[in-house]
Amino acid sequence: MKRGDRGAVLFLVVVIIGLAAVLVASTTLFFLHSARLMQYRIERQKAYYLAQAGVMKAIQDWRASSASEANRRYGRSNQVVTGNQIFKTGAQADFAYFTFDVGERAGWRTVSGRSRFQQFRIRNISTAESITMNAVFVSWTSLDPGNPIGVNNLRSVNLALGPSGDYVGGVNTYIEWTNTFNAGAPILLTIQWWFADDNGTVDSRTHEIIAWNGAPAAPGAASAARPRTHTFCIHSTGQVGQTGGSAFKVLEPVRAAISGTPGGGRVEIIDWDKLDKSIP
Amino acid sequence: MKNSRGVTLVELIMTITIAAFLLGGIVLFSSQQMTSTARVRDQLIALYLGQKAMAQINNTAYTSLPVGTTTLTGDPLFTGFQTRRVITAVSGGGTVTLRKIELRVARAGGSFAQALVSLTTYRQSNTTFGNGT
Repeated sequence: MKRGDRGAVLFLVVVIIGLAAVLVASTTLFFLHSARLMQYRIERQKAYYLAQAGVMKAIQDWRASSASEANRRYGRSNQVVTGNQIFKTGAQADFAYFTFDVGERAGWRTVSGRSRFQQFRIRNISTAESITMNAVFVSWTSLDPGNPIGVNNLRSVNLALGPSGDYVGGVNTYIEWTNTFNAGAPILLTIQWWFADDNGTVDSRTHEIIAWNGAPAAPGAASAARPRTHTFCIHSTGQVGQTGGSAFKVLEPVRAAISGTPGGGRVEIIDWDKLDKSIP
Repeated sequence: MKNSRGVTLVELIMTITIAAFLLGGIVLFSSQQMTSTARVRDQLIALYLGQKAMAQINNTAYTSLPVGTTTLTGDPLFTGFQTRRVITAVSGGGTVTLRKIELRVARAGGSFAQALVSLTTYRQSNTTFGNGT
């Protein structure tokens, strides 16, 4: 070894050890991160199914609560499912969805070849919170495959319901359609009402929207009494992790729109959304 | 020069010892990473199997979900795993009933107490997702 090369081996060894340390550290971090990410995915999935459990429990509470329409409700306290896994339900309503099978049921008024669904009632049974109709969407499909159908003249927007409010559609508020290809052909009419509550207070009751065909329509219509269908939203948040303190938690909120009649009758979950933030 | 002649026995032993330590460390490190990777892979498969089983349950009639413990049929794509479904009744509700459903996915032959993935939810009688039966 030349005199000028002294220390080169030491330098080389230090460089190699340094590179090896960086390699080991980065690989370790990579695998550690993968393991944590996997654990997070599992816990999110756990929380999601816990949120589903909350929706199911809320429906049960609602069905089993008072026979009185105004007192029907569901619980909102935290419920421990297993270990440190809980769900919590909330009541913020913002979606209603109704399906009317027009043409196979009586109760729709016909005016000059056009059909009208009118004098329907929508009720907010909350005693504390107002709700506002934001929009109405209508879609339709022909129940007669050979006869496509057109629908027009939708009129029903910006309806506001105060606490315990009823809205009764008058003669100038209706959903009207014309069967452009085959008058009288049966169609499946799907009506979605989107609404929002004032979200400022915590009500002791659920927001339930009850819609039914109201008083008999004008002459020429055969109005049938329709069963009252309750439609309301349930928010439920599943939580996995420590229930107190500032420990890490995984939250997964969902919103479900429910439609059905109280008691033992069938209940349909007609809309299901995963949300971005948990319900306080 | 006398000092430049070959490698002494002491130097050789030291080199072999250091190399052995390094090699041992590398083997140990690789082994740990392989174990970690295998566990993540197993968890991913178990999560898939759990989600699949839960989707099947959500699309199964309530009356076909009796209270009790059932070991589900294995998945043809991912052998080597087992899924257990435990259904218990949740009290309250009157005419309608609520059931707690727990799914545990573990390696075949492994303990369900040490399951890779464990999912829990509720199902209620006469409640469907959409216009189902």
